[in-house]
Amino acid sequence: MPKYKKGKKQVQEEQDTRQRMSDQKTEMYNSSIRSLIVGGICFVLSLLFNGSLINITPESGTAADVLLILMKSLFIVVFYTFTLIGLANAMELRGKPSALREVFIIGAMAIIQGILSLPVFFVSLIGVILATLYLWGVQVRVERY
Amino acid sequence: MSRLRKKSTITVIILISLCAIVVFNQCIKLGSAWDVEELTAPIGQHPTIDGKKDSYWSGANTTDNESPDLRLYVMINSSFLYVLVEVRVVNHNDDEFVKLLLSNSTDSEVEDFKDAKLIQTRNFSHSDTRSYFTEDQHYDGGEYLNDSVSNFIGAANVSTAANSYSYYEFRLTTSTSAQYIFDYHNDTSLDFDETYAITIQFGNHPEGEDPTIQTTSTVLLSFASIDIPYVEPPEIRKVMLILTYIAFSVVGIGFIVIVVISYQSRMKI
Repeated sequence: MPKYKKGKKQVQEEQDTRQRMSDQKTEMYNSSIRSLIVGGICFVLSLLFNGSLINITPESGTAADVLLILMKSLFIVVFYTFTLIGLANAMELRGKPSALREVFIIGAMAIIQGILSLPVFFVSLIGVILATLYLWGVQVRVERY
Repeated sequence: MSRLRKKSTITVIILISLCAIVVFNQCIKLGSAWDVEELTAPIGQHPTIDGKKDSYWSGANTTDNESPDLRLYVMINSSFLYVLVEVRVVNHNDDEFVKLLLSNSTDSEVEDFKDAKLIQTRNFSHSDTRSYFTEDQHYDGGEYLNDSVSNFIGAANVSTAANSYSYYEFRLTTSTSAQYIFDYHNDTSLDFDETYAITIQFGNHPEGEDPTIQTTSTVLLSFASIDIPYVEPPEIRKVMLILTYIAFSVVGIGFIVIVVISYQSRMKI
């Protein structure tokens, strides 16, 4: 028998808090899944263009060529960013925040997609580094807040 | 005495006739030249070197030779010179060969053709045991000797169509290519800004026997002079594509693992 009997109000508050936390976790889970879906779409698009399943070969050095390189790199960088966010959220739900290891693994998974074209590879590498710095900056700001 | 003179006269006449036949035959042979004296290799697409005349060869320039009945196709792409010799003979010998002789310039003396690329077939009339081999050779002391390093690839095959022509495909690398294992002494230094003399030997060469050779006259070979964008040859492209698919498979599996980890997080809620 507990010594103190909780009041109805206190029980209600605890239930509300639990509900709020559960909602928050559900929201985090949904966010993680949404990020992974975006990452997955970008992976498929990257496979189509960077894997030469859709072969467009504009004349070298033209605007179309530059645009194609940027587009291919964008798919890779967006894949990296959203997959990392998705995984980081999911790991946080499990009580184990993501570390540098995850960043490197997903980074490698991203830039390896550009091996067929040297310009795409380098633009993607720069994009991945910038995205990592951005995510790191956001994380630091959130922690301060 | 008169009989003896008559006999010797007949002998002389026979000898003269024989000489005339030989000279006449030689004249016919010399008269058999290519349709054109100079052939320009246009820019085409990389054909597959398998001894089969694929559709890419329709973009090549050609010239015909009467005896032996050959058609020569030439084209270039990136840093490669592609040569196809169509042998228009109905009955092929089992040990047929085609040898491409190259002169480093427009000179066409025998000793100027210092570089030779040979495709020798074996069992050519038997589709199940048919084979061929290639040899990169150089001219030394009146004969062609094998190079230690080959800088070309070649293939031979017989068409299954009604004409049953045989095809000999060569891919030669230019001296400017980074992949070229260039042998200054034994190989032609191919440069698309220059003109070269080429000639073709066709014949039979069974193992252990002397070859029977028919040599064509010389044709000058020049190249289309425009900037050629570098395109990887098909085999390198194939390897790169395989590597890319392996990479994408690994990334795909990694992504599935991430999705599974995320799904498991749902259980924790």
